[in-house]
Amino acid sequence: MEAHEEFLTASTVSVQPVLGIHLRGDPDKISAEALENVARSLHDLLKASSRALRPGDEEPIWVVSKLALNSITTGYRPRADYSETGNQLISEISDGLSALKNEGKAPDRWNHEMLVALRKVTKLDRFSGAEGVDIWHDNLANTLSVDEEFSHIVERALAHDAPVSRGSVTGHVVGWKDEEGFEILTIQDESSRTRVPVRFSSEFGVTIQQVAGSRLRIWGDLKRNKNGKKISLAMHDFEILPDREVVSVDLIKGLWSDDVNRVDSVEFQRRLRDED
Amino acid sequence: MKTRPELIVVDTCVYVDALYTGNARAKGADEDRARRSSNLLAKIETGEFVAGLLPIVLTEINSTQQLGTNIPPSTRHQRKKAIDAYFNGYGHITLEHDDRVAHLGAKLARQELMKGPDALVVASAVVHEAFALFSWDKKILRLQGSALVKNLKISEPPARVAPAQGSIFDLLDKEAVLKDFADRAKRSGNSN
Repeated sequence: MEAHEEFLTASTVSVQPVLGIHLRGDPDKISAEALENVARSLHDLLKASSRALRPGDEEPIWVVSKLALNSITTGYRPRADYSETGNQLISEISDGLSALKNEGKAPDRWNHEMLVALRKVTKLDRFSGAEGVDIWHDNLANTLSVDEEFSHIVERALAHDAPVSRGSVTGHVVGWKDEEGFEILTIQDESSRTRVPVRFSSEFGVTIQQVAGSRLRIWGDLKRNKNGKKISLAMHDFEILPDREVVSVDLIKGLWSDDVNRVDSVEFQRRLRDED
Repeated sequence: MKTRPELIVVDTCVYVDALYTGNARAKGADEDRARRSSNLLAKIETGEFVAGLLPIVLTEINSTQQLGTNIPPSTRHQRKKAIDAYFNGYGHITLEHDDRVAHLGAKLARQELMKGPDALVVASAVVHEAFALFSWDKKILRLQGSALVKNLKISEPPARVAPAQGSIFDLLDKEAVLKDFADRAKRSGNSN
């Protein structure tokens, strides 16, 4: 029996499913943790979509529209008073999923948070007893099976969509190469304790070469992956820092010992952090 | 095989205790606290662990009257220079405030009713996957056991520092730290 046929014959606690997840597997073997995560990841996807696609609007309240133990099937729909916005969101999510599947890229309006939420859905088959994941809307005739290819598409979209912030890396150069017309050096970043590729334009080339043995702080547009790990930096500028030495705490120990107005160290901290 | 040192985060008050070490007004419990704070910090210079330096901690230490106008400029300059040298030294790494820290900080402030700076301290330690956060401040210590701090251990600097090699647990007397965590969790459970 196909998954959707199984679903259609299952008992449910409500009607009118709008967006749902079907976790394939034997209900007797699917873990409670899997069920918990199905419920949460579906809700997270809807909430992320609301924030990304309807910024500024009040977020719909989602109610359980479908819950079945044929494997595990859940479906959420917007509460009646949010039906207009909610239904539009479901439609846009559905269109976006189709675009991802067919064109390999997420719609422009999908943001990083949405892709992260979708990624969680694609990982649901990793829970004990789960054999596969389908995302469906309206009815199971509209089902998207999460296979390896779709998971890769989501990963690629996430990598492409890595958020950019203004940031820096600090450390020594440990590698250097040319790539597609750009020079790229690799810094062993002290803060994250990882190696971060830094792309820079030719105007910096000679200067950087001259100081490549020094400890550098380089700042610019920093990309991080979904876990926050620094994955690349596009350099705006840099500075040379002195090499670090081992410095004993004795250097600062007792530095304020002559303070006649000494306060308790926690009180000191609270004075700075509490409101007047 | 030498393992990478554990990352810890040290709150402002612990550094302040070290700065006040030997102060004439410090008595009894204060002296014990200063000793425990200094013992903890002394482990940084040996490379046995790495201290994640939070921008807010550095700001708080550098923004005080101890570096202010009521001190002769030459003394103030020397103190500032010493503090800068210490925190720029090997063993401290800056933990950046990125959007992950901001989001978790906001969540902590909202759900745990924390002040913004306190929330940022805890969020930084969690996001950067520090092993432990050391503080004397009850408003920080009470977070031990919160679901939002995940695996982060939040503790006072331990009473004894064992002369061992390896993990931070060895360095800080594993049994004492674990007992402290368990007692705290129990008290927290009883108060709910």
